[in-house]
Parts: sequence; C-alpha cells; structure tokens
Amino acid sequence: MLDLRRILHTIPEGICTGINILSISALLFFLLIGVFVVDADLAMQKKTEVKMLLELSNHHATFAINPVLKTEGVIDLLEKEALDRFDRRMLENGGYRREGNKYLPSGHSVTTDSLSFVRHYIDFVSWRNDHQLFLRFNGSDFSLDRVVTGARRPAGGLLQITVMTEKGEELRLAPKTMVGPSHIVVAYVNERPFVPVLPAHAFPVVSVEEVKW
Amino acid sequence: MGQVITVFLQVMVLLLVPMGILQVHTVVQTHNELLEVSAAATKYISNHGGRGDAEVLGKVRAFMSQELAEKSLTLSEEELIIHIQRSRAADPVLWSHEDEFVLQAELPFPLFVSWLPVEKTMRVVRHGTVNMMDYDL
Repeated sequence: MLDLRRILHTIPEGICTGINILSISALLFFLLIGVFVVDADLAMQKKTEVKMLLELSNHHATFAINPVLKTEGVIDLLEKEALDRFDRRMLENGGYRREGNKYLPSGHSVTTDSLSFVRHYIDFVSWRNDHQLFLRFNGSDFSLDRVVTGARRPAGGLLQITVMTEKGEELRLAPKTMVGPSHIVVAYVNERPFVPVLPAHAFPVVSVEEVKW
Repeated sequence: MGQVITVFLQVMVLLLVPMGILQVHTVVQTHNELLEVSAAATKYISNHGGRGDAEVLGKVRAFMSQELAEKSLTLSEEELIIHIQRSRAADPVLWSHEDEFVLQAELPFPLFVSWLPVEKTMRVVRHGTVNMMDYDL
C-alpha cells in the first residue's frame, strides 16, 4: 500500500492513509468476528462429539459381561474386556488411541489435545445404593478422589458426579438414577484455544451405561 | 486511475475475508450436523435392531428425516447418502443382540465456489452394536 502513494502523489497524503487505516481496521474487525464465530462452532462440536464418542464406546463396552456368573443368574462386567472394547470404539469412531488414562487424538479427531478420563464400575452388589463420585482435574491429570456410598433404594441408587476443576471450581453434573450395574466414564476436555486471545475449551463429559444382557 | 484500482482491490479484499469466514463456518456447521445425525442414527439402530437389512435401512431413513425436521437442521435429505452394513451377525436376517454394524453418512462438500482444491464429499463413519434381543423383534 505504501508505494501506491507514489502513484497518487497528486492526492494529499492524509486522505490516502485515512482510507488505508479504515480498510485495515475493517479487515481486522471482520477477522475478529470470524475467529469468535468459528471458535464457538468448534467448542460446540467438541462438546457434542466427545459426548457421543463416550456414549457409543461405553455402549459397546458394557456388553462385556462375565459368562460364568451369567449362568448363575448374576450379571457382572469384565472390566478389562470392557476397557478393551471401549478402546476399540474410540479408535473406530473418533480416531483416539489410549495411553495410560489418556486418549490421544489422531489427525481427524475432533480435539487436538488429549482427553483425560476416569472410569468407575458400580457392580451388581451396590447399584441400588446412592453413589457420589468426586473427581479432580489438576491441569494435566484427571483422577477419582473418593466415592461415597449412601442410602439403599429398591428402584436403584442415585448417581451424582462432582468435578473439581483446575481453578477450584466445583461442577455438579446432572444426577442420574441407576437401573442396573453401571459403567461410568468421565472425560475431561482441556483444549488450548487456537488463538491465544480466546479462552480455552475445558469441560467434563460423562457417560453412564447399564450393563447389557 | 491508480486510486480507482486501489479502492477496487481494497473492496475485493474486504469482501473476500467475510466470504472465507462464512465458508469455514458453513463447513464446520455442516460437519457438526452430520456428526450429530449419524450418531443419533447409530444409537437408533443400537436400540431398535430390525428384521432384515431392508427394514433397518428404511427405519433409519425415516428416523433421519424426522430428526432433520425436528432439530431444524440445514442438511438436505436428498443429498445425504447412507450406507449401513453389518460387520458381525449372529443371524443372517435378524439384527439382534450384539450384532455390530458400520454406518456411513456422506454429503457433497459444502462449497460456495467449485474451484477450491478440496475433497468432494464429507463423510462420517460410525460403528455401533445392537442391543435388542431377537425374541423382542
């Protein structure tokens, strides 16, 4: 734009820079709006898609029932096999690979940072009791602090999950009534923003599935 | 004359930026909707099963058009191509307990201009497991 001034030497310099500043600021304004719109789109996508991935994977995982106990009329989950099945669906549907208690994304995954997760199984003995799960995210690790069991209800216990975030904020997730032995997976999405001026995308996502039989 | 060209160029650049943003926004939103619809359809098959391939496909099509209308999504039903195939089957006809399937939903890539060098379709693949006893079908 500067050398254009040489062509436009007949026009006073002030007008020329005035136009340039106007158009550049309009450009930046459009870009800023665009960045916010796309960021909101992506945040929405991450939230719904991670939830879907957990639900689809957990659905598949809860088919891993113990065949020996089943013949005796007891429905129980084989936790190791359940985790394997969970891993398989996370890879097939979302392109995530597990390493320890994190799912690492691949190129076409919906997040760019890894997902930390916590898994908990409430078995056939205790699913009628109320359960409170306290989880904590400390910035890199997501862990289960403690599990508090409460009163017994014949119809099935109430499950409440509380997540303590990095900043000390307590998030209470919507309570759920269990209708059978339940496999619970809570993942914590902690994504860096793609432009530093934007806030990070950080939120927990839960999936609770009853064992299938 | 020079000033006319400058103004013209500036207006072009100013128009191009919102166009680009709109393009990115459309792509992300279409992808969101495709992910949502395909996941909902996968859950639907998981919870309902079916008596044969044709019935499953028909039920999924009906479910998807209902879903598109109810959630007022912008995807067009005619452009949406769905393939469903079982990857594990206990019975050759019935889609029942613990059968596994692959659902593939495909759309033409949402573009304003046709000369951009990108893929021509947007595709989402979902794997699911049926949770429905054969005696309930």
